[in-house]
Amino acid sequence: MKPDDDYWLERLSASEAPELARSVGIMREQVPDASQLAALAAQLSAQGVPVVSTTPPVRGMGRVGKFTLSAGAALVGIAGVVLLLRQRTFDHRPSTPTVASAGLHEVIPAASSLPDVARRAGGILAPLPANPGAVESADPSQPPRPAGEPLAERVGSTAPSAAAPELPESPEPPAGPNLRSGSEPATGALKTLHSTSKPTTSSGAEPSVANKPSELTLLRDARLSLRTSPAQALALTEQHRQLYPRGAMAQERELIAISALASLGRHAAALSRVADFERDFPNSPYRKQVTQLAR
Amino acid sequence: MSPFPEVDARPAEAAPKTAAVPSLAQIFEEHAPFLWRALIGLGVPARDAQDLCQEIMITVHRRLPQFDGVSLRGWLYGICVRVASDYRRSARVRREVVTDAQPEEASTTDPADSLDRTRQVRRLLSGLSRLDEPKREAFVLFEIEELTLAEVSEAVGAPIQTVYSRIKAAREQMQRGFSATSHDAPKKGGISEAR
Repeated sequence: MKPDDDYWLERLSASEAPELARSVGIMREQVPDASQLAALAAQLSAQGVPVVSTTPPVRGMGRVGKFTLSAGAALVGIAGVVLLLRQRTFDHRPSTPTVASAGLHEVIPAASSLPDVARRAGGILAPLPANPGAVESADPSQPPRPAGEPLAERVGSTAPSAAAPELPESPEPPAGPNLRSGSEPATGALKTLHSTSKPTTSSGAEPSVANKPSELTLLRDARLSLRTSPAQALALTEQHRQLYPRGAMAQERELIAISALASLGRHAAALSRVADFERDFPNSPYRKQVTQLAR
Repeated sequence: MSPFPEVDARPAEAAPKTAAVPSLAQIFEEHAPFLWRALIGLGVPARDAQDLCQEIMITVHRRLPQFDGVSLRGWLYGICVRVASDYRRSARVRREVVTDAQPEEASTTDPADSLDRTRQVRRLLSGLSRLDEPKREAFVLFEIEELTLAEVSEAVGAPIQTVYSRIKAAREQMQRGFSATSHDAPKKGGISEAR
């Protein structure tokens, strides 16, 4: 006997309130990005709140499940290992079958579809764990939606290539190697992202300061890819943000990033960035445009 | 009266209500994303959601030993509702992201679908912001978070009957808002700045 038997209420149905039901449905998809969750996990762990278990629960892996766990674990604990691995990777590609190295091989072919971005973006994310503003920076870089269906939908609706460009971006460093055997080839977009994104971070795709792209180049490329691959555009803006935090073209970058977020359906992130934009650049000539994007 | 009876057969019911108290890691993994979303529904701007979600988890961590093991979601969302409520009362709220502005047609050339979705979210949040706090909580927890009436009741600390009426009232108000905006903003095409 459920206690609410006397008060049974159906959820809002599309037939009685189509518009409202529809926006409720869209709202239900607005869950935070995995990188945001990872950043949260890192914050919490730093405060001694153990939200990351070393032994993943077998049952009831939530929709965000392994991803979050591993991301958090990695962010907090394994940053050192990551660095180590990366160095080793650079020096002499180790053939040891660690998750990181195993994954690396998976990633490279996948990421090869966007040559340069992939490399740079992978490296960009490395400093993330130590970065207190991780949410912000992690934010744009992070494709995989915890919820499976929305992701599939999104990937499908944007462009088939949308998932790939984002791979290198995922700020999830390799988590406990036990979490993922790194052996899930490409069952679903989400899985692929998971298993391949981690290694990238650790893989040693270093942002080489030597061939640092100019602000203009980065943002031009970002703008150009906005239509075809918003994920890539986002990656480029993120790269810009990392390389030129106080660059002369910060407003342009934000405009592109917000457009990309909107295109990717990451509305909460877009709205948040719009708010930041409005706060940071109250007199921007782009302000109206940006505000409109959030509508 | 129940055109879609299956609609309510949701995870809340299906989830094993184990007597064993889940670990914090499990809670985080299974609920944090949705608590985060609920915060936004409850009026927390996206940029503050992470901090507040952190606050929720810290509270959960502290109070988990006292959890009675009955309705985890009701308990978790209860914390969520209180955190959001405190937040709204605090001075920080002044910087609301969602304005009362009517959603308009955006005149950009970006993919229409995603823009439309952004608009829908904004519109919903805008509608929610016009509800009073109890109605808003009831609506968000029941309709968006898909809690059962009993869980909502536990979360907001009100009798089921009360929750029931709040949801009904909130729906009506939201629906009125929605039909109003859809009537007067059908095809303006972003010309309203002329005024």
